[in-house]
Amino acid sequence: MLEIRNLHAGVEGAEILHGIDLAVNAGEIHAIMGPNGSGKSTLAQVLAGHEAYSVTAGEVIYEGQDLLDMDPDERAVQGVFLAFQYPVEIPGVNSAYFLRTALNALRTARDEEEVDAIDFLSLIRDKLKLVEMDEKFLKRSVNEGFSGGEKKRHEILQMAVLEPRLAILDETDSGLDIDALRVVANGVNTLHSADKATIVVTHYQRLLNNIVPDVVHVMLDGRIVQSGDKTLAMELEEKGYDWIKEEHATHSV
Amino acid sequence: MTGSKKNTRHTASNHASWVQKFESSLNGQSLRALRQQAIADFDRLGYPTTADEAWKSVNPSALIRPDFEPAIPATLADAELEPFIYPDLQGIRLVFVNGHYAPERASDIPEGITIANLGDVYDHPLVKAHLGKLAQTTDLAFTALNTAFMRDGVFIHVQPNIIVEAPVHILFITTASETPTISHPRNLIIADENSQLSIVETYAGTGTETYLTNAVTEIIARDNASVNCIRLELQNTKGLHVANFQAQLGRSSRMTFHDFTFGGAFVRNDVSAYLRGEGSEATVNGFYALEGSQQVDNYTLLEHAEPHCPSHELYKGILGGSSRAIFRGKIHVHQKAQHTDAYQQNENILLSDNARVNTKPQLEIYADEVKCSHGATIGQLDENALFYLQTRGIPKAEARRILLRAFADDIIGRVTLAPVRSHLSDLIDTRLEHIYAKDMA
Repeated sequence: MLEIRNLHAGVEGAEILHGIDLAVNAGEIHAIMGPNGSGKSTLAQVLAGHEAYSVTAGEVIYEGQDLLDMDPDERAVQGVFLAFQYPVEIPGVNSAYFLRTALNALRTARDEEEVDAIDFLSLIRDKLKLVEMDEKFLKRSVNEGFSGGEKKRHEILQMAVLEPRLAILDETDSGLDIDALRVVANGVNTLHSADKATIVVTHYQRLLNNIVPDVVHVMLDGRIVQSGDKTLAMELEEKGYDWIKEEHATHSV
Repeated sequence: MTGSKKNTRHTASNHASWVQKFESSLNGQSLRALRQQAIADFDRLGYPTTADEAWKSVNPSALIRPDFEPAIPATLADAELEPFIYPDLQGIRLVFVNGHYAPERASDIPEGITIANLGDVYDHPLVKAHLGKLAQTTDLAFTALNTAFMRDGVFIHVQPNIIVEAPVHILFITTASETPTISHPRNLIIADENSQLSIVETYAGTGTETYLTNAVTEIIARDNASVNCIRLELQNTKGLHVANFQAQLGRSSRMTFHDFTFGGAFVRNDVSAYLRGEGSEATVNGFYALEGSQQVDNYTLLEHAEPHCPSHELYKGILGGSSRAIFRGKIHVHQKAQHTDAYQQNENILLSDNARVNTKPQLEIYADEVKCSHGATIGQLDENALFYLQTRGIPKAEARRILLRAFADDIIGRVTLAPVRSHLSDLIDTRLEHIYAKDMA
């Protein structure tokens, strides 16, 4: 589904990703772990198409197409979704309007019929249950005054409404209490299926107790330095990132 | 310095002769003393220059043209009026064309409210008692000119305890003219005790050439009255607009004013609310959407003279092209005005590198127990919010429109007259498309 080959990218002339290679197949859940500053979030932002990051080398093939050639909205139309580490507040735009506009933008671009307000309401009610959110959220401005947990649940709500084929979750677990973590993980697990792929970017192993990855990658200094199964995540949890840093340093010498 | 004084004196004699000539055209009902005082004030003041504190951020020279002729009456075609009226607004309508009352366009007047063309009621005791009392000519040159040369406008008196359900829509339309014209609309509105009134003022031009509209509106809200005002400035792209809006609030009265500035090459708005009754409340909000080389100067004053008065002020603007906006907001809290609660905010979004905003709050507080806050923001459209919307599949142009509309709706949403609100909603969409089309070209 997704193939990243030798991806180099950075911001304002400073390279952050020094050659990422990653292949994700449909039905798989991949976890990308790494300490702060390793480039995990940069990778997520580049995949979503943030203008501030420039790709200097490499390619990203998504479903046989050049992902990097697409505008962010085109990527969404093609089924790519990024759950933001820091969801953006949009004063004056209520959540219901935002969600329906986004859903209809996708449907229009795919030559599907728009969803009217009534059908949308019954659709959204189901999705709200999944993330255990109250209907009153729909009337509030997007992310404005939301707690950290509410923001993250709202991200998963968007994912539930837009039904992406490739979901990238950027530190969706950061700043969540255990209940919110359970809700978010349950949402992600429910939305995952054999024809979809999920990339979970995380700093902590904790989330991976609830979302079980098929493959775990460790990122250090803009490179994926090690990949393995879920036991790698447990090892990191136990030993921290230092051993892998040391090992990697030895390797590169 | 001496030279300019001589110059002023020279023009002074001209002005006096203008007033004499003008009076003879007024059929005797001339408010002579008021006009003479006004022209004397104007002679003393002269036209404003950038040396004047109140005009220092803009160059008012565009407003000063020796070739302005008094606007003459004209017939307005239905099609010319149509864009500015709202069929859903079931109310009272008065139309003024080139500063002259157009009685054939007026609707019926319900009972309990006196509505007349000011030019027909100079002798009304309330006109004699109140005209020119709020909008003083001593330091505002354009108000002095208006007072010297005022002719028509609305006079409204709402009797005590009368709720006027029907909003009053007052339209001042300037038609196309081969020579630049000037008109001086003048309105006096008195809402008596416990009365309630809604007014919509529209200023527009149907031609493509330049003209100057120099309007003054005085509003008196007596004890416990409620006055709701909306002003739409839709002058043509070369139109020049100077407006002085003055409101006085009695005990426990409420006045809301929503000012929308879309048109005009050069616009100067003076807006003052005098909270002169305990517990009175003023809301003064404004919105401007500018393009090209438009200049808009908003100069506001909230004067808290009595205790327990809240005031709320929010001005927001979207600027494209090389447009320029100035916001100066003064809050003056008298020593007596304890428990004042005054809030002022000015927010701006610049859509182009050449657009500019100057914003300046000015707080003068002489009371001890006061809650006063102010803030100002000038920035671009939030790139992170744009990106966020885009990642949800919303194309960039639509994302931009959503964010700008949300910004504008903060003001538009506060307009309580639904037909005007929905009209404003259409106006802002058209306006934003226009600003973008120009900037992208």
